[in-house]
Amino acid sequence: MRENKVTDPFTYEIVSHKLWQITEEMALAMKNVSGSPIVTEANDFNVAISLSDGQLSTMGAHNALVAGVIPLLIRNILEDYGSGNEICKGDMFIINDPHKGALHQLDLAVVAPVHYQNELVAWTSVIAHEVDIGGMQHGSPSPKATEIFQEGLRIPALKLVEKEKFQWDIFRMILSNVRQSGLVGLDIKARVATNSVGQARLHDLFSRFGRKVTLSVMQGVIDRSEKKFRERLLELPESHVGAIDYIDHDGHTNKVYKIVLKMTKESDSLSFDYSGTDEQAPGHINCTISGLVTGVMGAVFPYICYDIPWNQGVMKAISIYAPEGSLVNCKPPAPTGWASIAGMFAVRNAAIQAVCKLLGSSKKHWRQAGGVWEGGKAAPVIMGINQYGERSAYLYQSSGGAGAMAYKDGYDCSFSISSTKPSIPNIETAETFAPVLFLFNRFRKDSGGSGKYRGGAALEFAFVRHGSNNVSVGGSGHGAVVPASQGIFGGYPGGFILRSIKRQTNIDAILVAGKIPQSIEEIDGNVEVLPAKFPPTSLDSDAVFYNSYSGGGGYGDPLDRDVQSVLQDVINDIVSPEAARSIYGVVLRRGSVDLPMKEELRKTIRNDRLGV
Amino acid sequence: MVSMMYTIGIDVGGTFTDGFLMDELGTMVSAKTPSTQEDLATGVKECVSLLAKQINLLPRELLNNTHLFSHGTTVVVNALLQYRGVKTGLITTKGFKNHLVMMRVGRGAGLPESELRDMNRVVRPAPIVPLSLTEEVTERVDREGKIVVPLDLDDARKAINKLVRQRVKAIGVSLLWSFKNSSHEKRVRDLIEESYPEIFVTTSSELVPVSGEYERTATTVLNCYVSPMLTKYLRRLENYLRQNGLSRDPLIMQSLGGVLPFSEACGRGISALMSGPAAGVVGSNYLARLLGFKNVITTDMGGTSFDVGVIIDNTPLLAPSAYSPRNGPHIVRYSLLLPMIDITSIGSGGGSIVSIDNGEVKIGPRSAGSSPGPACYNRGGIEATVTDADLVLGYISSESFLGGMMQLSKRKAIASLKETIADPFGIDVFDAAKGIWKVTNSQASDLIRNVTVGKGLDPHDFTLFAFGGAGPIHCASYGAELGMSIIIPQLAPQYSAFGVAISDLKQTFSFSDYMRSPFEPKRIGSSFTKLETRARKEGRAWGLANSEVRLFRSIDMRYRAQTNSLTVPVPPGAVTNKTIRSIVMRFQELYESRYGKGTAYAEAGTELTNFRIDVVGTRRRPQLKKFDVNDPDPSRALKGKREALVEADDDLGMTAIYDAKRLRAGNIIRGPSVIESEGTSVVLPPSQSLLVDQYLNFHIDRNGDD
Repeated sequence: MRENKVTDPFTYEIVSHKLWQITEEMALAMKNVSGSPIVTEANDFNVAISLSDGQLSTMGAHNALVAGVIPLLIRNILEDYGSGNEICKGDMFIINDPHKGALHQLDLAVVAPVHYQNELVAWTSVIAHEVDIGGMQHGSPSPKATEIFQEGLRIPALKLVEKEKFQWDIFRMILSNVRQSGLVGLDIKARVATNSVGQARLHDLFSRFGRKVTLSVMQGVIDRSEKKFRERLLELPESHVGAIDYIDHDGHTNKVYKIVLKMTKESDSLSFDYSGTDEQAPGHINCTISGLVTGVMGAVFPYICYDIPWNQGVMKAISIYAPEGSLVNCKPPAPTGWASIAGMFAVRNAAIQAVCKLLGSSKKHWRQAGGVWEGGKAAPVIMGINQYGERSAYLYQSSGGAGAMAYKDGYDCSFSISSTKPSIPNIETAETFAPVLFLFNRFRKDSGGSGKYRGGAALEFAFVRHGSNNVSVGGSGHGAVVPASQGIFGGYPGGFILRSIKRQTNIDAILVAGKIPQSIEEIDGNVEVLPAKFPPTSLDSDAVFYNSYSGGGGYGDPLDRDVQSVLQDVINDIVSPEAARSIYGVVLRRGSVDLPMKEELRKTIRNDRLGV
Repeated sequence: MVSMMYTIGIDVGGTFTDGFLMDELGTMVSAKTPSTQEDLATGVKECVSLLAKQINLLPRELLNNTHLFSHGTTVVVNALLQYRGVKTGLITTKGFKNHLVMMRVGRGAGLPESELRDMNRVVRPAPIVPLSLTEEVTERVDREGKIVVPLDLDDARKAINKLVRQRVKAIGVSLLWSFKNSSHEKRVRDLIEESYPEIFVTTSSELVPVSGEYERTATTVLNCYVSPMLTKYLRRLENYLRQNGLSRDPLIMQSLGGVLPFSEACGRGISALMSGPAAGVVGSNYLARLLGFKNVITTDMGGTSFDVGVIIDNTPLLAPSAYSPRNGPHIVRYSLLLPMIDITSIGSGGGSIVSIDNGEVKIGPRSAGSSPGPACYNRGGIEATVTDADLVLGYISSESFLGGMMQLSKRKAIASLKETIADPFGIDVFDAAKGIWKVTNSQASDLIRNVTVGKGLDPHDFTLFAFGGAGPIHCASYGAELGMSIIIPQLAPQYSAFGVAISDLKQTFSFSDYMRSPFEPKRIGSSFTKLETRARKEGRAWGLANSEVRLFRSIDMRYRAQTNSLTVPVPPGAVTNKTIRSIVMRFQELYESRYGKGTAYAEAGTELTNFRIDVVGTRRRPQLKKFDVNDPDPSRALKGKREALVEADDDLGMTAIYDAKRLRAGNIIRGPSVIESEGTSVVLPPSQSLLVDQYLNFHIDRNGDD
């Protein structure tokens, strides 16, 4: 650790602001050229600037998960290209192999070296989620997959651009292996444009401030994060912390997998050991080392580094281990198609639990501790022939809830913690693109984990098909039989993900009678509860599909919750009167709290817990 | 006896209320008075008196002879920032009452990038309409506008009564797909008006008939929240103006960049949200046309913020729609679905506080404002600000600040810099001031880059306009970094008042109708006809002749399944297949010029989302006065010399100081020098020179670049 003396504080501020500015310009270039709503609307991508040895210096303000991936990608490029000897000015590499640093094949990265005065001085990179990369199912990852080879093209580091020359042969080879090749092609070009902006602007920066100053600021940004992070670790108690998380369903059987973590905080370093985790699964829920690192950083960054820039400096103080061949460090041919929402999520959820136990045990940092956020996703894909007569697949992104923190409730409808600027579509947008009609879309009652501070509520919605005779729905999530968002310090876990189809219903008659059903129970019919993963299932004209995400984990004992907050939640339909009574010990009479009754009830519940 | 006719613009800002007056000969007068937060109208009246006094008239004589009175106000933005609007209820479709609170997640909406990663900031804004004032009604319309479930009138009456019992003063009605079929919203409005005529009602289909229920609902309830307050304020002001002789309809500035008669503006108060900043862009565009510039970046550096706007082809750029990939406009973190001039801001102005955070120097976003103000104001401020650094560097004079209205204390400025910056870093005060100057300018130019490059524009294709109290001090430096030529308008410190005064009447009518190629010309044609009927009616309501009103058609188009939509102008007249082909061609050209060659994705096909008519009523207004061009020698304006930093990496040196008032058209000043005017000064580095044009604006260019 050395203090940076090459620059004065003002030059440091100017150059570090410009580095941030370059990531902004790169992100805008990506958004401008890309046609993919994943990039332009959901912000599921990110850009970064790294030092020549691959250390991550500055990253854009989008999906934070790339932080774990970029250093691995660059390390693999350096290894594959003769320790960097074959890396030339004007090259750009395309990679998506989960065994070469990517999270899963759908995350396509383009990484570019930056040369100044003929010397490799830095890297720029962009990673974005693609709509399809080939494989056995539209959209690539499939619950039916048993091998990574079924999940689409695996691209090791290839020179997509060689000495400023775009390699059309590689481009065409990729496009002939993917669905929606027009969109994918445009997205690949967008990545090239993004890196061109990064390369040119970094080169300007080097020319203006000189090699020494620019590099010292890039390194300084890393060193400052490391220093601050290590100082923070020193303020936290020495400890061993355990945590367990689960994934239900591997795509083939509804089996529950266990992810086990032992975290050790010693002096100014932190280690994560996932020994004891189940072996790799025969379905698409595994992750490679990239998912493992990404998951850990997905917990460390937001919880511990809320005011520390997220870069390599933090990662230097962390060591991570998982046995090879385990679910969270899998070997080929294990499929990894949904590593991004399964294996990596579970790594992160376990790490959040451990990190929050550590923070919660600190006199100084206890306020940062909280429950797990939206531990399991449950986005349905609406497939078939849309209302315009075209074959289509529409992924409807809804949202779960945030974990409660030590001093505040979790954010209702929060989306994943790793997205910094998420948004979900309007119902009018969803109905424009998918042949469905929504009956309701709202906070699901009792979905936020109970606690002194309540976890954020998840959304629940139901739809019928509308404007097409050929509609089916499929989905991959987890947390249907084991809650995915754990609570902390007595807080309850957030609600399960819930999906079901009610068939042979009287929905038409209800609508014709001028009513809109507000729950699946108000509709007559045969209900089929769906498991965490289910293949596309057809929706008949009288079928109703219901879907809900997982709520956030709670913080602290619900019996300690302020009664007015319980009352407010009941009035707002976020907590049911039954839960208010049985979990919070609060009874409501005519819109206000029965205080004597509350004291009595809370005492009874406490005694019941003790068995007295 | 007064025979002259006057044009007046009054703009209320956060700190000062600015006035501008022009007579038929183009003679201009300006005034500045502190804004009166308790009752903004007091400051407006005071400003009118000050303007009248300068031309030796009584306020009544001035207003009697005023043919255009235009006004920009912060009433709306203040009501929102301070949550002082009226109690508002919302009626929405059954099953969707959470949509407003949900904000489509909205975690990062309206937050600066620097705060996005801090979980402690993940908090919803206080609700404009709480869930307890949100009522659902049974009804459902589908994407084609067909009624799936008819409106349940009993339900609607119950909902209305429930809200009235809770004493709401305004009700917003926003139902799913109402822009395709507004009958249910209209019926609910009728029910409210039948029983409770005193309640202010906005339906989403009349205010913003555009797709996207969250943003449409937010805009509708925000309008309900502020309109009754704006109405009250404008009525009171209008009474005063009328009683004092004004015979014309007073006009109010809209965020769209035009003015509307008070009577038209009252029902859509939310449209007056950004009237001041919009006026600065409109004023710049007026001047740009006059001077022959087509593409302009406007920069307004005031006390607390640095605002950047863009003009392309003499058309101010509008903000992206709220749900487009780039962030649309936000207020108190709610998204707005209104066409408004695109202004990008950072919290960096003269009053911005400089601090050390974790060993790093930070400028803003906290501001010392006008009270206590920068340390040098000597009103109790102790933290160093950008203005304190400017004073230490010799850029502003301690005696002639604000035309001598205020004495500045250099001693206090030095003390604040020493204590908060220089000592902690172990450097001297002068180096600290120099550092602050460099960082402020560098971040201003980074923002300009971000705004232009982010829109696919090259800053070199633009001329930079700089105004606001601090803009002229810093512009030569932040403009030079980008290699831009700079214009400082004559009335830079009161520029928004000028913009308000010269604005045209303007209104926009639009609605969403999603279509995929191949398009039906008939359906497109009838959409425009429908909008044009409404637009003509608006023109008549302004009291303008048909010849004075111009209509402009446009549509929003994008490649299928993409989100980057562009607004494409549509020619007037019948819409045929040929028209459609030319529109699609124009779209492709625009797309490639905005997003780069090779980005067009034609094989996907195209889709239309929104139809729009802009209606513009041009007003007769006097021409700016032209002055004869004199010889280049500026020496009669030379006031003397004082020490100032001339080159950013140098030391203080003796620098020529000029008095802006005594400069004549045609004068040329070479840097290094400082030109002092009332309310600001212009800092000219050695590598640049300044020309005074025939309207007395300053043009700054690199030496030798002619």
